[in-house]
Amino acid sequence: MKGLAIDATKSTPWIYFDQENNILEINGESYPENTSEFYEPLFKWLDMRLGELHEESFTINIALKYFNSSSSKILMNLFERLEKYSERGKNIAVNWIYDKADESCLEYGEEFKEDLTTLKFNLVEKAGG
Amino acid sequence: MIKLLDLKKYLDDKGIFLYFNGRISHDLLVQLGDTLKQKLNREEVESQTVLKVFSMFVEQMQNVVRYSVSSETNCPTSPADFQVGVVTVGYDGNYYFVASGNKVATAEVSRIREKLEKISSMDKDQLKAYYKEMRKSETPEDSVGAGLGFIEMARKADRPLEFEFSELNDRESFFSLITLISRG
Repeated sequence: MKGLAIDATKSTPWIYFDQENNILEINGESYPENTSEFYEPLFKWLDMRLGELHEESFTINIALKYFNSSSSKILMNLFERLEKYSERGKNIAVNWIYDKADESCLEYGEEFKEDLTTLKFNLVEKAGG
Repeated sequence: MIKLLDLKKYLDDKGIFLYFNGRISHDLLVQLGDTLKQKLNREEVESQTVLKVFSMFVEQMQNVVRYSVSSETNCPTSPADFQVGVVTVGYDGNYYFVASGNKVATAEVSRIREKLEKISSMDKDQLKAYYKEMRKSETPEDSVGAGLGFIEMARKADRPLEFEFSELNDRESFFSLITLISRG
């Protein structure tokens, strides 16, 4: 199993896989110069990682302060892909983490959730936020 | 000789506090976006409003870059015009405005206009449904271009999108877009 760690820039999020707890963190802001190019390694890695997943749980924590419209499309693709894996019996959960003061972040999470049927998609208020 | 004071007076008179005219790179977008956020934060603008203005700014700057790229493949404009545009942010009464303009192929005008007119005719619920439909559709990201960006802006803006096409010659037109966000 390979790890995954991508440093943040002003326009791209920090992406990190915590192997011990099987948690993928996506954190920061997302408005890359080329969105599909930026997220391609993540998608490749996920296919590999989820392919070898057995009964153990796999969690993705997403805390994005800002993302542009093309990132929104990529995120939807990501969730659709995760939903397919979960329908094949993989134990996957997404935590959409929002700041209490940031109503729009919660709304974005709700809108993703509305378009998903079987994927476990939790809206989680940021601790201390 | 250029009268910079006249230019400055014009910008001030129009309430413009951020102005750029030229080639837009991703790094420039990030830097100017940062400057914009810092200015609004210094003025203690509500964080949701700052986010809206910033979001309009990013979508419009990225539109300029993308449209020019798509123009390149269609070869309507000269290489000197790739990713070139003008972007302004300012105050207009009770609103902030983010406005941008760039050359597009005259052949593309009707396609862009149709898209914007369709979006302009929608109310907030219709926009939400359309946004979700476009986001879900299987089209590859690159071919979507500004489609989702326009809908995103229309959803976030507090007034309908304003747009205009001015024909420069039979091959090129100048496209301007203005979005307004309430100052709260």
